[in-house]
Amino acid sequence: MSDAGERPLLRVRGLTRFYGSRVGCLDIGFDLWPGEVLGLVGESGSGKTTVLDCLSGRRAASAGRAEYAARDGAIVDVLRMAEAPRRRLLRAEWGVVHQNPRDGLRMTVTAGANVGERLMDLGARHYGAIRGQAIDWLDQVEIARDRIDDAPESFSGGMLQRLQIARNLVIRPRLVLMDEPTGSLDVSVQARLLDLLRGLVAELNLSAIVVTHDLAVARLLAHRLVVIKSGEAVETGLTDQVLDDPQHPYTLLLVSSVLHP
Amino acid sequence: MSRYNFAYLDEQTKRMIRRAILKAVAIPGYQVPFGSREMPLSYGWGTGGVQVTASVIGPDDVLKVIDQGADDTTNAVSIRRFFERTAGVRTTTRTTQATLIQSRHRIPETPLAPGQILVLQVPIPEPLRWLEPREAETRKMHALEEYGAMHVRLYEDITRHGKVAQTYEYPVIVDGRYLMRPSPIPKWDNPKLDRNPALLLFGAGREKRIYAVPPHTSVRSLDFEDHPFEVERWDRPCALCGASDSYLDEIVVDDKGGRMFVCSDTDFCAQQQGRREDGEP
Amino acid sequence: MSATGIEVRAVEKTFTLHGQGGLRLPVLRRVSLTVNAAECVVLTDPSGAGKSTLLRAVYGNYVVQAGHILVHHGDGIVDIVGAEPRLVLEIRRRSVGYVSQFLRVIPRVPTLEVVAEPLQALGVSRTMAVDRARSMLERLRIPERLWALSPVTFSGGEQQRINVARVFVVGYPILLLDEPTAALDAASREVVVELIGEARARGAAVLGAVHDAGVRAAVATRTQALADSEAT
Repeated sequence: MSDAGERPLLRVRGLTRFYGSRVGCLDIGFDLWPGEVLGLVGESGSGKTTVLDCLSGRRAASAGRAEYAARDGAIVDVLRMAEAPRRRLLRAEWGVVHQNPRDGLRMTVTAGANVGERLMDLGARHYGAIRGQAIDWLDQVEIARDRIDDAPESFSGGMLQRLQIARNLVIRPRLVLMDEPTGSLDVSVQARLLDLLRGLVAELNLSAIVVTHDLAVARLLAHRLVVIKSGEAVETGLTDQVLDDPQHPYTLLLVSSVLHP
Repeated sequence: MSRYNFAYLDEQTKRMIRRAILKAVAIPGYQVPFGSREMPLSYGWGTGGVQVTASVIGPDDVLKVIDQGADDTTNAVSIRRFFERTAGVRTTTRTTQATLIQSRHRIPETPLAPGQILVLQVPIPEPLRWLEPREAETRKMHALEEYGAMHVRLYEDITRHGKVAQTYEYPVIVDGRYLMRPSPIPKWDNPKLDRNPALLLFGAGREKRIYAVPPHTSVRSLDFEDHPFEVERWDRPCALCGASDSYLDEIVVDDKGGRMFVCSDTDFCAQQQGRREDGEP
Repeated sequence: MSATGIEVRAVEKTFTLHGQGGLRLPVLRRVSLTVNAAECVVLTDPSGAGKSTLLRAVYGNYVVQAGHILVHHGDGIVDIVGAEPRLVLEIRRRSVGYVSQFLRVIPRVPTLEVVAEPLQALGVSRTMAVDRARSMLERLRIPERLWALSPVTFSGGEQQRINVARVFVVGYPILLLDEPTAALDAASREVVVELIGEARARGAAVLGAVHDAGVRAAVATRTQALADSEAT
């Protein structure tokens, strides 16, 4: 963690999205600091994914600001940016990990190409170097090197998700948005993936916003939580505090509903 | 003269196409949509090229038409006759004498001069179509200059085949900005696109797109630093004219596997043969 | 308060049982106490009186409704109550170590890593962190064959010793201990008593809940009952 004099990496205020007259999310605000993982938790339909979608640009926000401190030092409101510069910024500095890895990969090109594409997007033009980096990242996400020339169609669910992570992290993003990163995986596969994510977040000093309905995942990955119900933030605080001493009745309901084997 | 309007198309259509051409010239490599008309030849046979030619041709133009480099194949002959009938213009097989050249799948070997126009026939204009079937998406990719995927294609080729497998219709970046599909010309012809003193126009009739490379515009073939763009090579010269700096077609001559290599550009070959007879190098 | 330490001032904590119609359970009623450097203050209340609650509140794990919890952090003093979450995390990294009653196990992380991690988070080199982790595990009599395994399948006593190791491997200036010897045999209890003594010797302030009379006698410089610490 960093000293108090620093600026937050992302400052969200008043983020609101309506679907007609229905509330997607309402007046959401939080700061995200460098090296911090923020968990957005809540049940399905709570609006947590809407928050992520507004930040990634997949959906337009109805109101609010999201001020991001870019690598070059500029502060930009990503909600108000024109599409072209925003897409460029996201490609160069952010990562987006989808719940279903197929949404975040090109299934018909090789694993190596999937990892290398982000580099080529940013102007990498040396085949050997691109391939070298792809190999490094496959190692990092524990995919066997000899799969580099295989198309992901032959990969298991866990491998696909790890490949998606490699594809995102290869450009060393400063901020990663993750939507239920372990959502579609078996338990043991989940454990392996969470372990990997924990390690990478620490090693790369990543900031991340992780949307999850699974409190165990939140406890493992997030430093802080924002609990969202019906589109509104009802509680926020340190992960262990929110889960061990929930203040809001809804948080208590979530926590007490979890099954313990 | 026939009962057709000059060069077959009505004047309003020509104006519409000329507007599209002007826009294309103003934005090198950018695909401009146009209202492609029904032409008296099938889609896939050069309707786009013919419409572009018909829109720019004037009574004083001298027209050359080639197909795969040859003036005497069916396609070339048909189109040349079409303009003879509908425009009454002079035609030629000599590249140096033409003011307007319509071509399918080749750029003439003889260097073009300022003031000449080359019209190329294009089947599929969109270089990203192999990756993305949605038109709305490819337009966005061009607008946002998101061309990483094209390099992915090259990467895949090198991975699978050790080199880029594309030998014709090789993708290029025009004026440092737009990714363009240069029509199915062989790799050999790509260098001719770069800073050509002539105006290069591209017409796709079925897909309804026109694009252009204005004179002296940079056109760079995509490649990797450690796998640079290379043209084809032959281990022998043209069997007819002896040229070793021209694109050669392979012709099977008998049932025993005999083959000979001759220039694809018939005019160029004829000129070379003429020069040899005259004792020139 | 001395150079290191904890000062709890009139802290109130009430649990609201939302699931039971909003029933309110006051647990800490204006508790005040002080722990100075080199002191080991042991809370003597019976179960359920709020000892764990107070320890968790000092750690920032529990929220309190009123009062202040001042801890020394670096060169200054921070009020845990109302502190920014980032600051609390920073305090946990550097200044306050907490041995909870249960080890929260992350699957797949080997024991050696569990114990080395807090040191690495402080910037200690991997080699040194692993070295110190090894010494600590040896001292707490965790067999080497278990070091590469995740504590998930270990016994309660083994897990508790790893919990202790994880905290004592760092030289925290403030220690919060919640029944650190509850599941341990005599030999292991001895080790923990030694560790506490060493911590005090280097000036740490220790606040603990210990119900074992023998251990209490060996480590406490002062005992205190929460009931007595509450203002009326």
